[in-house]
Amino acid sequence: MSRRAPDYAIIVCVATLLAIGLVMVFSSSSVRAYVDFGDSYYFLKRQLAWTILGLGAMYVMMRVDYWEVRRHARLLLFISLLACLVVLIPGVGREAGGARRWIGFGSLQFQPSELIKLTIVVYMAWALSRNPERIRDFVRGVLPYVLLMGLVFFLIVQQPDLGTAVAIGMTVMVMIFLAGARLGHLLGLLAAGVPLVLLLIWSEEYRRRRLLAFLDPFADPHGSGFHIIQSILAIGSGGLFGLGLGRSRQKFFYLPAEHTDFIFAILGEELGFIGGLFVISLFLLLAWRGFRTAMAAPDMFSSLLAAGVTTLIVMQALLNIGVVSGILPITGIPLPFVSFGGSSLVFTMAGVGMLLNVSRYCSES
Amino acid sequence: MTRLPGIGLRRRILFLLTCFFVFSVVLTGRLAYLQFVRGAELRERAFNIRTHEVPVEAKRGVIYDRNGRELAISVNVDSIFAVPAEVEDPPETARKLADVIGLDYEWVLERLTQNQSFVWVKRKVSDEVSKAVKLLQLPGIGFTQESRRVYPKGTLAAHVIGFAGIDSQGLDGVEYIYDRELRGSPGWIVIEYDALGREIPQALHRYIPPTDGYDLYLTIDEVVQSMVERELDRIVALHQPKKATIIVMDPHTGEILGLGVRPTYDPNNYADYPPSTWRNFAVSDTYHPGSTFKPITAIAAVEEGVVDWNSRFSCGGSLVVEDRTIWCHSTHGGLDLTGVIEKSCNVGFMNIGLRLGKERFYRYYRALGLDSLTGIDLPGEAEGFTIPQEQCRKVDLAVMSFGQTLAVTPIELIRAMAVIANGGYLVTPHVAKEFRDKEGRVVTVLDWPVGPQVISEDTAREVRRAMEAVVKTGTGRVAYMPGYRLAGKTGTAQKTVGGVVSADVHVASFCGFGPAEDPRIIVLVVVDEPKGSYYGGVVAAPAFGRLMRDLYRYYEIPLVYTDEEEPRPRDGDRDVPDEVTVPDTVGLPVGEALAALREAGVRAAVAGDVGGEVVVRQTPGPGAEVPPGTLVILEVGEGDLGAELVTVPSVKGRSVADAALRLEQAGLHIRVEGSGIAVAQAPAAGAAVPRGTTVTVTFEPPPGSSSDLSGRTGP
Repeated sequence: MSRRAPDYAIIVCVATLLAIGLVMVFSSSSVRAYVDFGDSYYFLKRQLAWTILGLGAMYVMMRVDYWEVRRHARLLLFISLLACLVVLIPGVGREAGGARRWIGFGSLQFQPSELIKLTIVVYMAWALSRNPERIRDFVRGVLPYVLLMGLVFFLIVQQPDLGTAVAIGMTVMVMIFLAGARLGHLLGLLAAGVPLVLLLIWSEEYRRRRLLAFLDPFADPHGSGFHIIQSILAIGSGGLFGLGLGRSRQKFFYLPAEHTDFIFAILGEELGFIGGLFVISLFLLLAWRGFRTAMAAPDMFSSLLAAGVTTLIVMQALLNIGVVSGILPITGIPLPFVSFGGSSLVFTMAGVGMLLNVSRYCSES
Repeated sequence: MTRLPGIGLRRRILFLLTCFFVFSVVLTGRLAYLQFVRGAELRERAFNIRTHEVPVEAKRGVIYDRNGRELAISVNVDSIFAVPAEVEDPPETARKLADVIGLDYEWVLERLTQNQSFVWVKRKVSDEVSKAVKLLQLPGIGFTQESRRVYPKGTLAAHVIGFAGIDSQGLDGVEYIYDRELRGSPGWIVIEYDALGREIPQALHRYIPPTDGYDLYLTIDEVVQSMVERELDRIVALHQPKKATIIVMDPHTGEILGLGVRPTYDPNNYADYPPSTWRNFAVSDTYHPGSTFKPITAIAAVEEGVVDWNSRFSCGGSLVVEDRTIWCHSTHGGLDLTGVIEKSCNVGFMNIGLRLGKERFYRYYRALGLDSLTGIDLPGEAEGFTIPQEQCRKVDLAVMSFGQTLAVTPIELIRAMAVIANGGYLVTPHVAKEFRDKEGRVVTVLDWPVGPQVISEDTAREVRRAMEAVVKTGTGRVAYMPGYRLAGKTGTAQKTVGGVVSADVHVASFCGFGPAEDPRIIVLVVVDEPKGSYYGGVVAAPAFGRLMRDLYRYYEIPLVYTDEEEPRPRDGDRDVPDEVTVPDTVGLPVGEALAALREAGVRAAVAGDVGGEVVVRQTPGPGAEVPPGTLVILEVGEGDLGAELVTVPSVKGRSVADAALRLEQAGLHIRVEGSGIAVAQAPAAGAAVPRGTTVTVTFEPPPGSSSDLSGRTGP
């Protein structure tokens, strides 16, 4: 099979998002970085390092024979599941902000949940393309993957990291859908899943508060509604062109997680509607190019892999922006390429590498 | 190898892409809604959350007297505040602050730990405290300058000036009435803070400068006010009254030149005084004017033509009105109108009042504003009152005609008397003259209406002439000074205590003006519940005399002598006898002092505690060069003459006032029992008793009278 040039549109798109990310991480985090670490560039330096590492991962994943990756899909998933299990062990998983999400040695830490995001996409692409007809059979073709998804979801929720769990769950479901599952099966799953999710939310006090805060943030403006209100205030302050790069006011400790999950709010405040629209457009462009790659992919596995990676990235982006702009309940979920955070960036870019890898094997048109 | 992706997969991918697209549109719409539709509101909201508006007080206007002397100023002092988020060690900080400022530790700690970005610790502290706190260099504790009101003259004119509170808000006096003008409008410093209460670097600072208040120039003259305060102090020292007030006014314009009240307070520390001391007797309380009301009855009658200056009145010591016998304080015999006024004859005034009739009496009572607010620019003004016209019986009218049963405020009375002084016009008494800005430019000249002419010039002049006789030879003669041409009227009224007219509780007053021909100054002295002596002519008139003497000098009012008075050299007329030297009489017994003064060619009047026997002070002082015939006022007090004995005179058959005067002259006090004519006294006449002894005199109405009102009004 002849290899073509990778899809440059995806590269440009990702590069632009990365650039925006670096600028916004610096802009939004400099105050906190200075106050907490005495170095305004603290987060920027780290994000820069992760970006370089991510670019390396992307390059590697673009170059390797992704069929080799396919061969190890089960092993990769197994390692990821193991990591997700290990991170839950007190003393092994490192805690931060009330969640145990990181494992590693010294300063080399990573989030298993970010790893499994990618490996589960690879695994699903492998599994679903192995016997395409089996997907029509609910018990043998759908249920196992739903159960796998449930396991992963359960493990990640234990950290707890509901946002990532939701993103993974939705991605898996989307892949089952793309692989050709019967709509009846999917609707049945949906009917069973929604009450389950609601129960899950209701069973945990903080999740319930978050949901209620989402429904009426101003009911408790200093408590549970604080986060969303500050985010909406930041975005609203932006107007058409924003306050100007670096001129955010809400980043002065009013908006929590301003350089991670809520970086889009600062972006909206500093760059305004134009900036927000630009970022949304980039993700939409990425979706188009990624799905185009999937449709032109040489085989089912490549197609599902490309579609899965694209879905994973764009889904997270849309969820993130939905949360930040107050139309979805608060779940911690980073904005791909833009939010500060190494694991997310490196694994997302590894995924982009695979997407680009697939795009090199696409047929014309 | 797996199969190529089929048509189904492509369709489903396109469906998914569509979903993403739709959701992106929704998100974009949401952004547009937040940023365009609600943008301004959210921006404002965010701004308000992040910013604090620290008010910058406007500099409160200075209050000056009419000549630009400062009566109330504002000085910059430090106020201490805390930014709780920046306080590093609240308990330690609170302990230090509590120690240095003298506050309660728990209270300070509670403030320092409040979930606020700004709290006051202590406002308007002294320089020493401020310096001490600054030396502590406590993080999170800051200073801002505020202005504090200072009244450099202390109690001087306290009831005119009033005072301002901690926020420089006027609370009483002109500080209250003209608060808006004095206050100006505050400015703001808008500071943007981060969520932890720290100032955002290069943040938006908006400074809206305050507009300073205007300076207020009063009509009060500090010099005149000082004289008023001095006389009030003297009255308090001599008579220990419940309260007292003196008002000095320009009768033509209503400008108050001086207004003092006792008891008083220091507006610098107003909170340390009981609020009752803040009360302005001059405008907020009514009193019984007594005989000082009589000129008003006189002008009404003259104006209406029911009497004229040739009318004759006969006083037989009492008058029967309806079924009641009302007593005069003496038996005056035949008098003309001037005589009635001069002698303050109750019978004469009753006759005048009855001739005038109810309708006309009330018309003048109202026209002279005795039942309505004067409109003075001081807070808490009260209205005078009397029996409602429809309930007024003949006997009430008779009694009101000599000033009984009426209640007026001092400011109402002086305004009514000013009508006589100024030729018939009802003025608006006032204390504020004009506002100026900080550059001294006049901003507003206050316009004080001079009301309608309520009596004719002629009537006013004639009544003035009669009132001049009161001072010259009548009940106010203690205030007489040759050449001054003073006119006035004394008043002594019994107060009602619990609805019953009391024989022991009195209001003494004197209202007068000068020069009688063309009055330039009008003065009212009211002394409520003096101890010991209580006659207006004794308690209030000396203060009037002293004030007038000093005011004539201050305003350089020329003295005009009548033919009967000692000839005075005219300017440039050098061959007439020169001035005489006032001998030193301080320390002498009163009798000797009077003889010495007579010998020296000056006249003498005794004022002060009538129980005293020795001259404690004389005015003018020893050695002064004065024109012959000048009145020297002797103040007497408890001297160290041992137990000098005096002989008790007989007062049998005399009225209350006459008896009191006689005993006073003998150096004795009187205790009145009953009313009417003196029938008994203890100790008996001829007894030798120590000077200052109180003689109890029993009075009884002469046989045949069913009721008795005499003694309610004295000269």
